[in-house]
Order: sequence, then structure tokens, then C-alpha cells
Amino acid sequence: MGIVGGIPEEIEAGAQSLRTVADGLASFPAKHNAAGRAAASACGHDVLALAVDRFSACWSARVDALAIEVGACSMLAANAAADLATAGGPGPR
Amino acid sequence: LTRGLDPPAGDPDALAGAARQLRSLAEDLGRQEGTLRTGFSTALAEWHGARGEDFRRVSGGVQVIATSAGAALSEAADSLSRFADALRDARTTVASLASQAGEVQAGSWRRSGYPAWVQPTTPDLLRQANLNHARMECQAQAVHDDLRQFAVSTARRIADITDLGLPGSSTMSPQDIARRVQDTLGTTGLSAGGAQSLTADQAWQVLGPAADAVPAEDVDSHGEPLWDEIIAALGTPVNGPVTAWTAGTTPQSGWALYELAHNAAVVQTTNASVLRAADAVLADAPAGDTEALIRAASRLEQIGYAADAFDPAQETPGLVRAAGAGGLPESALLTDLGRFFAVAGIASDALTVISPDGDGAVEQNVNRSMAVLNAGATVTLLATAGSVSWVPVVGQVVVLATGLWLAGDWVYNSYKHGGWAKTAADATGNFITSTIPAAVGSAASSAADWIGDLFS
Repeated sequence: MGIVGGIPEEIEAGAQSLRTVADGLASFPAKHNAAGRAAASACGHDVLALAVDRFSACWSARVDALAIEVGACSMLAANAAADLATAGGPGPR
Repeated sequence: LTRGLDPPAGDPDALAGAARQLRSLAEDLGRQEGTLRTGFSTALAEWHGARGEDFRRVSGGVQVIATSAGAALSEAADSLSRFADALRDARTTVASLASQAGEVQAGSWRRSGYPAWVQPTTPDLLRQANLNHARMECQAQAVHDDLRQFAVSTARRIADITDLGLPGSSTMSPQDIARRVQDTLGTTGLSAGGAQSLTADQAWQVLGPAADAVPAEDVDSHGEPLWDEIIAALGTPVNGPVTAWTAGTTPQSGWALYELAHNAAVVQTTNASVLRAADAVLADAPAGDTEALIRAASRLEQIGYAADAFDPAQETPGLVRAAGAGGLPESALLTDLGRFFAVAGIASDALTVISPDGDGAVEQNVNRSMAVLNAGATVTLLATAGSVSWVPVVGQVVVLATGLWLAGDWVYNSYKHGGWAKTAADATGNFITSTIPAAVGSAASSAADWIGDLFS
């Protein structure tokens, strides 16, 4: 994990917030894709429908990746807090 | 009914509903951004040491992507909402014309005195009715055509926003796009829930692209991107109007600009064929071999000239229009000037600026000046050849600065591991900082004056 210093409770609180965001973002891609499909089928023009499909594919994958990244951040912060707590509290700054 | 009087295809209410859903997602994402900011800030306030520093960089990248995604959703929702309105108006107008056309036909038959099932024989009445009918059909067809054009321009705008997320996506299938995003970010086969079960090393690996997305110096101690500095990055070297121009942009447009300036992939995929050729040329230039670099620059220049002849509407997806997607005030101007494929040409000039040919210092300086002049002249030619007759000097500066900036970053990102590439990128930045403020400060009133002042 590397050298860690700080107050574990605070880091853990940050990790929890990040976990909340990751959980919230996890449902985005499905909703985004549903809205994208609805828009593509309702717009009446193939060229626009394809652009919307591409947009949905790109940005829903981006947000999906964002959810994974935030989840990873949450996990790392929680690990750091745990390591620090095990080490006995606030470490060197 | 004939085709022109058929209602335009599409369901405006359903489309408006889908646009509202996207808008709602954008707003939701905005709320998540707030929690995200708090979470990072809270953790970083008490997390110190090397990994805390890594975490700060990741925080900046993740927040930039979150802002970017929210801006993309919001922009797409607006575009689709506007198209839904246009579709609704078009359908109403065509329905009205169709109704009128039907009335004209029925009225002429009534006036002819014959019952509807009898073939009327009053030629003048029928001729007039047919003319009126044809006129309405033409009007309806014009509505169809306008709507189709609007569909194309809306599609292009959405493609630009997509390009910010994945450069070059406009030629890919949706499936390939999703796959490419996952592959690029290293998230293939992962899920948000699954991220919790990664090992620490795997997690840091997944976060690599986020950590690299924003330079460490553009992230504050709370892990928040320094938007002002990111936005000002292009404008900082330039005093006066360009600074004001830059400061007027939003974080979203700043991000768009940032992407534009820093994502070499945008440049590399702006036109696959030309830039593949350019890449091939650069690939032949071994790192550190100045002579080979100069030869490559020369060949790049030729490619740049060839690229200038391309139709930007067909051949330049993304790059300049991405600036428009970011809401840059002069984006329409830049689009008109457009042939940002001159970037390829300017890139070669930038390379010559950085590594001028010639043995003596004087000769090198002459070559350097000529390259700068050529870059400036390219911009001037683009301006005069474009559809706008007058280009403010600020526009020139922005075009040149952006072109050189892109060129520098392109070189840097293409050859990240070559020491000379970093030097090249730095030299480009130094050129911008040392030359352009003086040019703007001279209060030149035209592009020609500006170019002249540059070398006076």
C-alpha cells in the first residue's frame, strides 16, 4: 500500500462517500442506454439515430468506467484507512 | 397524398421525453459530482504520503471525467430537445399544408358543379387547383428538406460530443465504441460492484488513465481540478482580449478546450488517412535524430498542404467542431476557417521551429523564422480563403496558438518516451509564451499587420 499518514476515520468517511457515488453511478448506463434507444427510435432520421446510438454507447461506457473508477477509489481509501488504523492512528504528515 | 405532403417521420413527444430523461440523468450526475468532490476532499484532507499524492491525481482525473460526462449529457439533451421541437413544428406545418391541399382539390371540384364521383371537365379550374396543390406540395417538401438538414446538423453536433469522449468515434459502430472505451480505460469485464474486490495493484492500474488525465499541477490539494488554470492554459501566454475570451468560457468549454489541446488522439484521428500518413512519417524519424526529424517535418508539410484541399465538412470531424461543442465564442469563426488540417502543416512548421535545419545559428534562425512565417501565412491564407471576409487578430492568434499547442502535444504524446518529444513540446509552449503576447500587445489591426509585426 505504500507509506500512509493521516487520520483513518476521516479517510474512511471519504471512502464511504465515494462508495455511495459508485453505487449511484452503477445504474446510469442502463438508464442512459434506455433514453438513447428511445431517442434514436423516435427521431425519424437514420443519420441522427446513428449519432445518438454512438453517443449512448460512448458516454454510457464512459460513465460505467467512471463508476468502476470511483468504486476502486473507494476501496483504496478504505484500505488506506484500515492500514492506518492497524498502524495505530495518525501517522507522519 | 403525395410524398411531400406526407408527415415527417418521427415522434416528437417521445423524442422530447427521451431528451428529458437525458437531462434528468445529467442533473443526477451533477448531484453525484457534489458527493464525489466531498468524498475525495474528505479522504485527501487526512491522507498523506506517496499514495495520498497518487490519490489526489486520480481525484482530479475522475472529477474532470464526471464533469465532462455531465456536460455531454446536458448538451445532447439540449440538442435532441431542439430537434424534437423542430420535428413537431414540421409535422404541424406539413399536416396543415396537406389539409389545405385537400381543400383546394375538393373546392375546385365543388366549383366545377360536378359531383365528386364525376370526372370534372372545367380545365381552368382544374389547372388552378393543380397549381395550388403543387405549390403546397413544394412548400411541404421544403419543410422536409429543412428538417433533414437540421437532423444532419444535430447529428453532427452529437457526434462532436461523442468525439470528446472517444476521438474518432464517428466512423465506428456503437458496439465498437463501447468496447474501445472499455479497452482504453482498462475496465473490460469489470463492474462498479466488482471494483471492491480488486486487489490494490489492480485498482491502481484501473485508475491509471484517470491519474494521467490531468497534470498533477492542475489539481489542488483537495483533489479538485483547477478549472481556472486549465481554462487559462491556452490564454495565459496571451494578454488582453484573448485572456478575456478564455476567461468567459465555462468549465465545460474549458474541458472541451483542454481535451482539444491535450488529447493527441483527436488530432491523430481527425482524418485517418492523412494522419496515418503523418504518423508513418514520424515513425521513420528515430528519437533524437534531428536530421531525420527535419526530413519528417518536410514530408509532414507536404501532407499538410494536401490536407488543406480537403473538404472540412467531410474530412474534419471533431477537431474544430469539438471547440464548438465546448461553446467557444469564436467557434463559428474557427469552423469557417476550418481547415484545421492545417494543423498537420503547422505541426511541421512547429517541428522546424523547434529543430531548425542548418549549420550556423543564423541559418537556423532564418529557418525558424520562415517556419513561423509559414505557419502564420497558412493561417492568413485560411482566413482569406474562408467564407468570412474579416478575421479579428484575436482569431488569428487563437488559431495559431491552438495549432501550435496541438502540434506540440501531438508530438509529445506520439513520442512520450522520447526525450526530444518533451523538449519539442516545451519549445512549442515557449514559442507561444514568448511570441504571441508581443504580437497581441502590438495592437495590430489586421492579420497582415500581425504577421508583419511578428517579424519586424
